[in-house]
Amino acid sequence: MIEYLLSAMIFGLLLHGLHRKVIARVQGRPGPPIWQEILHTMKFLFKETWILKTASQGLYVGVVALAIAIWSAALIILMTGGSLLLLFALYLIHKIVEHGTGLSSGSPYSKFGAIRSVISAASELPLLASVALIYLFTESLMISDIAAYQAVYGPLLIPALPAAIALYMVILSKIHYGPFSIIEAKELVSGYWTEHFGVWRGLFNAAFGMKTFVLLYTFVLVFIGPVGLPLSLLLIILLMISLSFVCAVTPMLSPYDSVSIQTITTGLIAIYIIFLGVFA
Amino acid sequence: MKRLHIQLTAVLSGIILILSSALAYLGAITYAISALAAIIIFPAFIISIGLLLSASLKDGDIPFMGY
Repeated sequence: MIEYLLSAMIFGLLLHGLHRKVIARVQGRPGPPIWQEILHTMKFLFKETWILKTASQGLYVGVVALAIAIWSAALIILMTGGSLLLLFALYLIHKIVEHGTGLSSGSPYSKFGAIRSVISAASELPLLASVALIYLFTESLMISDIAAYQAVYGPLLIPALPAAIALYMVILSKIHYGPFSIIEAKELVSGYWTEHFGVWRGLFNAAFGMKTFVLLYTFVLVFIGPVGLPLSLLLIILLMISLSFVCAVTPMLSPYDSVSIQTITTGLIAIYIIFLGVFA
Repeated sequence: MKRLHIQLTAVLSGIILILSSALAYLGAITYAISALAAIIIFPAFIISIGLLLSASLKDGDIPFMGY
């Protein structure tokens, strides 16, 4: 099991590196090498580390452990074809990680990041809409059942396109440098994780690498189907590049606009779900 | 936390993780137990490895608290 977790972590960090590279190239810069995020994480791990005197010590360290644990659990659920609802639940626990990270240190920058994390709870709404729409097609939320459905009827990407768009937006809202990344905006230094440095920052990086891998792999499994590991990895990379393009050409939205767009998207998908559920 | 405690945590959690993986492959324990062990122990393993790598562990200081 540990081999899968470490592999997902390293591949996720490489995806983050690719993300930075593509954004840089689109913006006419050379950008860092793709393995930069791995070096970055290693650099943090070798730094001098302590826990702030003003911090809630248990929470300050606990959120790091929680972040690693929930994305490890999410990866295992994906690998075993478990329930999409469980993944949804873990995604919501990630919200607690964001709140806890921001509130644990006592710094106003990270507190503002945590407050923005609360208002950006709207980013969970498209996920809920996406899960509901998938259930309408497959009548099951087990990933193994969804895969079986796709083996018979083909990829869900086309018939459940609004759900795919919703999940794409969810991933976009969780990716660094994205239009919805208001919780780590530069006007708040690094936002909710400003005061997590050294080992804590390095481990957060690693956990978030795993998060990126899990979210992209979920998209591929749920909307394309089980296509084998090499093709899945290729699709994950292509998906990451497309997200990077969006991030490169889109400015970060204001908190109000970010929440508005996510809520409107969810509303449109909800109308589509009601149409499918009632009339179709 | 003393370095010795961190070293012990790293070694013990590493052994448990490798054992649980190996036993699951051999069929001695179920996949679910191996997964549960990984989810619980993996954060402790990674954090203790991280703390072992760090240059030094110091007492905390007070961050910027606002104007």
